[in-house]
Amino acid sequence: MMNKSNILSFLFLSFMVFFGISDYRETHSAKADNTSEMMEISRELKCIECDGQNVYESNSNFSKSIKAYILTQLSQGNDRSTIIENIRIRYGDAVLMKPPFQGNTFILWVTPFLILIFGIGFVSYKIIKNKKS
Amino acid sequence: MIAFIGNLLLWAAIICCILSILYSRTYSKNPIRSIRYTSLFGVSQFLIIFFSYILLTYAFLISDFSILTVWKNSELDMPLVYKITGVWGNHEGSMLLWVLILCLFGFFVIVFDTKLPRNILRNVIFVQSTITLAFLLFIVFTSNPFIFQNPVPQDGFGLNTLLQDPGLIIHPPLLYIGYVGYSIVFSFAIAIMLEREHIDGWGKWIEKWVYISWGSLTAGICIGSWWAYYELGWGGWWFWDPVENASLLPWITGTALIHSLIHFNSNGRHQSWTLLLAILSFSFSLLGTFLVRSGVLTSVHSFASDPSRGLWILIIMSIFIVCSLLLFFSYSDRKVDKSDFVILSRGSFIQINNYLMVTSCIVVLLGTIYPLILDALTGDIITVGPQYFNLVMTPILILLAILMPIGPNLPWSGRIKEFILQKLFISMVLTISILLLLQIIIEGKSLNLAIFFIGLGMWIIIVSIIDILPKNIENISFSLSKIDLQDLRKINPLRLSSRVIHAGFGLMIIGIVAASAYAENKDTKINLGEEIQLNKFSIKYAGVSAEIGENYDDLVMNFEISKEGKEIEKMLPRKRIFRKSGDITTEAAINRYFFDHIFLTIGEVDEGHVFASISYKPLVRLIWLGGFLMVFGAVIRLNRKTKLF
Repeated sequence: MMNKSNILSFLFLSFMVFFGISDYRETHSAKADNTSEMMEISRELKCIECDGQNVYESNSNFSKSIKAYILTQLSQGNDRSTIIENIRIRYGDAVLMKPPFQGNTFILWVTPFLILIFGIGFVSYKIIKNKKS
Repeated sequence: MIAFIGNLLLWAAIICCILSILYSRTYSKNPIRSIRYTSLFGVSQFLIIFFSYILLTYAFLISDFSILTVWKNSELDMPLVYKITGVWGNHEGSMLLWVLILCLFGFFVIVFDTKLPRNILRNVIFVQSTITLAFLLFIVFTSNPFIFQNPVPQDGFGLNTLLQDPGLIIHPPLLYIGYVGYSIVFSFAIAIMLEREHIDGWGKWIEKWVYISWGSLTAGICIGSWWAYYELGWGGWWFWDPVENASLLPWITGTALIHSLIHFNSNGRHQSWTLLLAILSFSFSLLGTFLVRSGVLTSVHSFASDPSRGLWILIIMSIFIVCSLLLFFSYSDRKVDKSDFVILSRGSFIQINNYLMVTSCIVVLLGTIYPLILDALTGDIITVGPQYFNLVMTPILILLAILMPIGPNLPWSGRIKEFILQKLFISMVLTISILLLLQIIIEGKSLNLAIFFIGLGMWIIIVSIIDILPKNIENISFSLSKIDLQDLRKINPLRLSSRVIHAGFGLMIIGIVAASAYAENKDTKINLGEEIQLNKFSIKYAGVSAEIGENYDDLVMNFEISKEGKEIEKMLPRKRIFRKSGDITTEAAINRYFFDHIFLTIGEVDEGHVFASISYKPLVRLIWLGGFLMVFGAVIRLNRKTKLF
C-alpha cells in the first residue's frame, strides 16, 4: 500500500492546496504609524553607548537622540533604508545590529552557508553513489 | 580569622591536588597504594573546598566585612537568601563554586563509580585534579575570595541589584554543573586515551555524566533566559548575547556528544569522533569562561570581568585544549571507519545531526568572536546582532527539525521496515493537515512563513508521541481508561527519554515562533483611569501604590486586566528602588492566559500617567515548558542508568 508515488502525490497535492489558497498579505497601508516604524528601525540599530542593547531597548542619551532623529526623518518622508544609511555614515558599521555584507564581513557571512552546502553536497553525493552501486 | 582559615583551606586543597596527581602516577609501581592515596586526596580536595565554600557563605551570612569579597557584594540589610546566593553573584565566589563543582564530580566518581577499572579511575582523578589545581592556582593568585581588609568597614556595597532575584538563585549553580560537568567527561576521554590500549565499553561509563551535564546546562540556560525575560524588562528570552552564546556552545557540542554516544554504544563506531566531542565540550566550557571572565567581550551580564584575569584563563585554556588535542591526534586506537554510509540508517542520521550541530557551533562561535578578531586585525568595528544569528541558524534549524523525528525511527542496519514508513507517512499527513487547517484559520488567504515553522515543531511532536504510544494501540480500542501507565513503563527508557527531549525541542520551536511572529505590542502613554485594548484584552491603569521591601522600596503600578470582557485580574508592574545604591530595576508584571503571556513593563512614571509597554505573547510559555521537557527527558535517561527512583 505504501509506495513512493503515493507519498509524492500527497506532498504535491498538499503543496498545491497550500499555495492555492494563499496570496500574499497586503502590504501595510501607506499611512503606517510612524512610531511602530521607528520601533522597527531602532531594533536594527545598536546602542553604541551600552553593552549589547539595541536602540529600541536602551534608554541612553544616544538612543534617545537616535529615536528622535528617526522620528523626524520619518515625518519628513524619508524611508527606512535612507535613515539607516544616514545613521551608519555617521556612526560606522558598529551601529548596525546585522553586519552588512561587505569585504570585511565576507568570511562571517559566507562560512556558515559554505559548510552547509558542502554537507548537503556530500550527502547527496553519497546517495547518488549508493544508488549506482 | 575567616580570611586566614579560608586561605589555609585553599592552600591545603592545592597540596591535596598535587599529592593526588603525584600518587596517580605511581600506579605501575604499587597499584593498590597508588589508587588508595589518589582517591584519598581526591576526596579530601572536595571536602576542603566544600569547607572553604561553607566558610565563605558563613562570612556572607554574618556580614563579615573584613573580607573584601563580602564587603563588595553584600550589605547588612540584604535579604537572607541573597546573602547566600551573593556568594556566587561575584567573580571570586563563583570561581570557588566552579572549583567546588569540579571537585564534586571527582568525588562522585571516586565514591560511586565502584565498577570502574582502577587504572581508568586513577587517570580520571589525575586529569580532574590537574584541572582543579589549575583553577585553584588561578583563584589564589588572581581572584582570592578571602582577602582580608583592615580597618573593617561598617557596611558593604550590596549585591548587584539586577542579581537580587529568585531566578539567580539556581541559575548559576545549574549552569556551572553543566559547564563543569563536562570536565568529568573530558577527564574520562583523556583517561581513555592515556591508557594507549583498546578499551571496551567506555561509552557506558561516561553516559550518565554526559546526561547530568547536559540536563543541568539545559535547565541553567532556560532559567537564565527566564530571568532575562522578566528581569531585564524587555520581554525577550534570547538575545544572542556573547555570554549566552558562550553557554550555548558547550550545549550544542554536548547535544552532538549525546547522539554520537548513542551511536558508539550501539555498535562501537565513531570512537575517536566521540572522544573529540567530549574534549570539545569542555574546551568550549573553558572558552566560555574565558570570554565571560576576561572582559574581552562586553555584554549585558558580564558583571564580573577583569582583563588581567583573562590572561590566566587564556593560559589555562590553551594548555588544556592544546594538550588534549595533541593527545587526541597521537591516540593510536583509531579504527578506520569504512564508509558504508547508508543514507536511511540511524547511524548516518546521527552523523548528519553531528554535522549540523558542528555547523551551528561554528556559526555561533564565528558570530561571537568575529567582531573581536576583526577589531584586532583591522581595527574595523562591527556588531553581530541577533539578526545575523537568526538568519544563519534558520536553515540549519529547518534541516534539523525535518530530520529529527525520522532518525530515531530508522534501523541501525538493514532495510527500513514497512510499518515505520507507514508511521512516518501518517505523521506527515497529520502534520500537513493540521498545518493547512492552521493556515486557513489563522492566516486566512495570506501566506506566513511562521506557520511553516510551527508545522516543523508539530512534526517533531507528532512523531514523538506516536513513537511512544504502546505498540498494540489498536487493542486498546480508544478508551482512555484502559491505557494504564504500565504500558508506558514497558517502553524502552532510552526511547522514551529521546522522544520526550525531541518533543520538548518541538514545543520550544512552536513557542519561539508563535511568540515572535504573533506577538502584539503597544508602547504607549497611559493616563490614570484610561483603558487600552490589546488583542482580546483590555488593560486599565488604576493607580499607584507603594510597598516596602527589605532593602528596597517598590513603586507599584496597579493595572486591571479583563480578558474578553470578564474576569478582572490585577497586574502589578513595579519600579524597584534599592535604598542604598539608588539603583532602579524594572520588575515586569506577567499575566498568564493558557500558554500565553501578557507582559507589562513600565517606562517613565509621571503624575497622572505612565509610559507602559504592553505585549501579548501567544504560546510563549511553551519555550520553557519545552526546556523543562528536555530536562525531564534527561532525568528519565539518568534514572534508568542509576535507578534512583
